[in-house]
Amino acid sequence: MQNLFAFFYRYAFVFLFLIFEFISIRFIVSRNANQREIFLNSSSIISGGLFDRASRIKKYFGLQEVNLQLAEENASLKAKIDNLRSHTPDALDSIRDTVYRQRFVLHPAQVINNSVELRNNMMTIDKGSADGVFKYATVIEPLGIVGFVTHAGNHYSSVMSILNSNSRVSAMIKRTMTRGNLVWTGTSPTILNVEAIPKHADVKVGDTLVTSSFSHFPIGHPIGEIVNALVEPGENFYIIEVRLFNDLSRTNFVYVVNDLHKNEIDSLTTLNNLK
Amino acid sequence: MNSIWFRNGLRLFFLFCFQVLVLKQVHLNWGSFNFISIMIIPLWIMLVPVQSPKWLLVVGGFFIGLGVDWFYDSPGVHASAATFIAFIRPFILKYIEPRGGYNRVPIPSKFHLGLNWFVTYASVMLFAYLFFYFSMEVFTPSLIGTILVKTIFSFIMSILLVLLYMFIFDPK
Repeated sequence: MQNLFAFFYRYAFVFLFLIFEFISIRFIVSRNANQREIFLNSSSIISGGLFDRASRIKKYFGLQEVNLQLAEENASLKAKIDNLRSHTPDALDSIRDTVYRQRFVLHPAQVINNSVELRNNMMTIDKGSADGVFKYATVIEPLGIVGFVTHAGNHYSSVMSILNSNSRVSAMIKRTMTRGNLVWTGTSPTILNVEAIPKHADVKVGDTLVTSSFSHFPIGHPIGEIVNALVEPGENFYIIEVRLFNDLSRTNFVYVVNDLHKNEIDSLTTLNNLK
Repeated sequence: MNSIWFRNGLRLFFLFCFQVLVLKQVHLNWGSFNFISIMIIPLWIMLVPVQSPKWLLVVGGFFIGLGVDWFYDSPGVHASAATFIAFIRPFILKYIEPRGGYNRVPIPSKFHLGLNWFVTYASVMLFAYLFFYFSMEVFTPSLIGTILVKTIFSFIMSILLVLLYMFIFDPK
C-alpha cells in the first residue's frame, strides 16, 4: 500500500499533466466554435475525399453494366418517343398548350458514399444546391427508387436511402392502382414491405409496384415486384414483401428529381391540415 | 526561499500583464502575412526555481495558461501549451544539465548558467510551447505547414523578446 502511494506521489505530475491536457482539449473542443467545427468536419473532409477517390476507382469496374443499363434506358425512352409520335395527329403538334406545365426536373448525380447494412442508411451524392439539388428532392435510378435528399450542401448532398427506418414512400400496385406505404423492416437490403393495403384489395404475387401520385417521385416509376402477399387471420391489411428491381448496394449513377410543384402541393396540404 | 517566490510572483504579474495587455494588441502582419504572435508568458515557466515540485509546476502552468486564455478568448489553447512545457521542463533540464549540476543554482537563468546555456534552454522550451500552441489552435494535423510557419516566425520574434528581457532585467 505504501508503495502504491509512493508510486502515485512520484508520478503525480504525469497524471496531473494528462488530466489537465484532457481538460484543455475539452475546453478547446466544446467552447471554441472554430475548433469544434474542425473537429467535426476534418473527419468528413478526409473521408469525403477518400470516398470520392474510391468511387472514382470503383466506377471503372461497373462501366460495362452501366453502359448496358443506359442503353436499355435509351431504348425504352426512344420507344416512348416513337410511340408518342405515332399516336399524335399532325394537327395537334402545333397547338400551343398553355395548361401544360413541366413538373419534374432531373439532374444526373453520382453516389460517392453509401451503406445498406445499417438500420438507418444514408448516402452522399456529388451534387448540391449549386447544381440545383434541394432538400426533399427525390432520388431515383433507371430501375428503381433510391431515396430523398435530407440535406443539400453546396456541392454534395446527403440522401436518406429507402433502406432507412424513417423512410416512407407512397407506392401503388401498377395493375390495380391500389396505394400503400413502402417501408423497410431492416431484414434484407433487397426486400421491402408495403403497409396499409386493405385485405379486400386485389394483390397477386408478381404484381409490379410503382411510385404513386401521392409522393414527390415521378409518378409510375418502377420500384419492385411483389414476391409475397398474405393476410394474417384477424388482420385487416395485407403483409406484402417487395423485391426491389434495383440493387441499392451497387447504386452508382442516380437522378435527382426536383418536383417543381412541390411548394404548391405542400401549401395546399398544410391548408387542409389547418382547417 | 521566500524572497525567490516573491520575486517569481512579481515576475508572473509583470509577464502576465505584458502578455495580455501589450503583446495581445501587437499585430505584426503585412497584408495576408499574419503568422506572428509573440509569446512571453512561457518565460515564467522557464524561470521558476529548479527545485520546485514537478506537480506544482504542472498545476501552475495550467492555471496561468487558462488565465491567458481568458484574455485571448480561446479557452484551453494556452492552457494546454503551458501545461505541456511545464510537464517537459524537468526532462529538458535534465538533458541539458551543465557540468556540476544545478547545485547553488536557484533559477535557470542567464545570470547563473551563462548565455549559451540559456539560449539553448529557452529555444527548446519556447519552440515546444509555440508548436503545441499552434497545433492546438489550428487543430488540424493535415495543416502542418501552416503550424510550422506560424511556429517559426513567432519563435523568432518571441526569442528576441525573451533575450531582451534577460539582458534588461537579468534575473538572479
